[in-house]
Amino acid sequence: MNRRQLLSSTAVLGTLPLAGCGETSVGAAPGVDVEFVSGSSLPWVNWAANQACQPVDRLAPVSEQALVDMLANTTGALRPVGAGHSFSALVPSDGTLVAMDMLNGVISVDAESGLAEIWAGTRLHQLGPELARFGRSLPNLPDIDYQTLAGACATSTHGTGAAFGSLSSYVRALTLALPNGELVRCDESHRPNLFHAARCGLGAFGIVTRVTMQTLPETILTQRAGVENLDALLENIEHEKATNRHVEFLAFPHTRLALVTRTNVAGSDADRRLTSDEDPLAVYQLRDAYRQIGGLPFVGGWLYEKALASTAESTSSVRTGPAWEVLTHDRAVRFREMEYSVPAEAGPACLRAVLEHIDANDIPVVFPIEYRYIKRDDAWLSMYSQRDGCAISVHQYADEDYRPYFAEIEPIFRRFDGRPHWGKLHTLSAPDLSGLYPRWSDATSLRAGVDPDGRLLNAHLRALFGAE
Amino acid sequence: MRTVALAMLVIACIGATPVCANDLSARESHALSQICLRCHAQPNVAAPLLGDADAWRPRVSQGLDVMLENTILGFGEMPPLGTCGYCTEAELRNLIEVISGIRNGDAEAAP
Repeated sequence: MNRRQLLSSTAVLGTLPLAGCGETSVGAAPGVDVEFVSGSSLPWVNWAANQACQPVDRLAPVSEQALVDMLANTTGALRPVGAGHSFSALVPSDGTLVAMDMLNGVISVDAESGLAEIWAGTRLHQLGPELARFGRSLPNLPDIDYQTLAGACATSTHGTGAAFGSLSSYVRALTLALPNGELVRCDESHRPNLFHAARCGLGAFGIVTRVTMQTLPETILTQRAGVENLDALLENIEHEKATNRHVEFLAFPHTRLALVTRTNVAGSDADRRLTSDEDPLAVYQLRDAYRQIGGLPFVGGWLYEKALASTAESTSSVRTGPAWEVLTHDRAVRFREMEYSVPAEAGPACLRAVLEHIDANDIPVVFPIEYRYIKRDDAWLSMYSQRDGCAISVHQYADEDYRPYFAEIEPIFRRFDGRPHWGKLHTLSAPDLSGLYPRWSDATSLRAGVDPDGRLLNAHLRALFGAE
Repeated sequence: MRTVALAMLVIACIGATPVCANDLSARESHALSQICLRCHAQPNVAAPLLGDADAWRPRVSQGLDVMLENTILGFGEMPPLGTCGYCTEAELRNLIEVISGIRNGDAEAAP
C-alpha cells in the first residue's frame, strides 16, 4: 500500500465537514512504566514497549565455552534475549538476560544436503546475504527480518505458503546449553525428545548456541500485490493456495477489501529489479483516512471503502529478487499484535467471524488483519504441530489501547480451536494450552527434567507451563 | 537489491563521515553493523541516516542525554534499545555519537 496513493484518493474526501467524526475513541495506550537513570543498570524494553524488566545483569557470551562457564558458575534466573520482537512476556526477568548476538554468522554449509549450521545470534537480515554467498536460502521467511534466528525458531515464527512450514520446521539440529552448564547437540537421532521440544522451545529448554537449518537453492521470486475483493478471494482461497507458492492478504476492517500478495518463482525473463514502491509508514494513513471519513453518518463506511478501492489499480506492485529480499518487508510502524493459528480449513470462517464481530460491535479498528497459511510440522510446541494452520493476526497501533479490541477477538479464535502465537499477546495458561497440543505433557515433563530449578523460567513461562 | 543498495549507502556514508573502526569495540562494531544500521542506513523507514548531518542536527541539538534516553526507552518508530539486548549505557553513547556524527565533528551536541 502506497500512502501517497491513498492520501491522494482521500484528499477530496478530507474536505468534507467533520461533524460527528472526531478522533476515534481510544484509551491510553498501555506501555511499560520504566525509567532510565544514567549510571544505574539499564532496563530492558521490548520492541513494542509493552514488556520491560530490570535485569541484574546482561551478558553476551563470545563463545560457547563462555556461556557454559557462566551457567555452571552461577545460580539464579536467566532468560535468553534476541531482538525483543515478541509482544508476549517471554523475556522479562529480574535475573540475567543472555544475548547470543556475538555468536553470529554462517558456520558451514553442506553443498550436497543443503544443511547450514548457523550461530544462534544471527539476525535474519544478516542470514539472507550470507547464505546467498553459498547459493542457498532459507525455504521461507517471516514478514520481517529483524529477529535473531534462535529467537525466531523459539516461537515458530513463520511466513506464508501452504507447502512451507514455520522456521522451526526447517531445524535439523540444535546445540544448546542446558541450565547445568552441559552443552548438548540434539537432532532426530541424538536426544530426539529434547530436539523436538526445543525446536520451538520458548527459550525454556536451554540456551541455543547453534541451529542447523535445511536450506534450498537460492531462488528468485516475483511478488505481486494489489487490492481485491475479499469475498471473492475467500471463495477462491483453495485455488489460490494450490496455484501460488506463497499467498497471503491483509483484510481491511469495515470494508470488503484486502491487499493480496502472491509470490511465485520468477520467470526466466522477469525484470530482476526490486521495483516495490512500498511505504513502511502507510498504515498510519489508513487511520487518518478512517478518522476523516469513516465516521461520517450513513456514508462514512461506504466512502472509506470507496477510497481504498480507488487505489486498487495504482496500488498494485511487483517486486522481483532473491527470496530473502522479496519475502520480507520493512515495517517501521510500531504496534501490538495478537495472532492465533486455527486449523487451515477453518481459516475463512474464522476470519469472517472476526470481521463480522468488528462490524456488529462497531469496533473502531483500522489496522489490517493479516491472513497466512503454514504447513504442519512435528515440533512438539509449534503452533503447527501435527496440523496445517491458518494464522490470523490482529494489530493495534502502539499509541492506542489494544486490550478492549483483543479481548473481543480472542474468544472467536478460541472457538475455532486456535493456538496462540507464543511471541504474541494472549491470555492462555497451562490448563488451556494442555488441550491444544498433543505432546504437551511430554514437553512439560522434559522441560522440568532439564531445568529442575526453573532457572530459565519467568512468571509468564511459569503460567504457560503450570510450573511452580 | 535492497541489501546491495543498503551496503552501498553504508559505504558512502562511512566514506563521507569517517568512522574510525578502532574507536569501537567488537560488541559496538557488531551492534553498529548488524543492528543499528538495519534502520539507520535504510532510506525508507523514517530513521535519520548515518552521515546525514541535516537529519541529525535537530536531534543532536537536544543533547546526548536526551538522545540516549530516547534510544533506551524508544522514541517514535525507534524501538527501545534499538533492539540491542546486550548494549550497555556506555556502548549506546558511543554508538549514538558515531551514527549522529557527533564523534566526527559533523554535529555538535548541546551541552
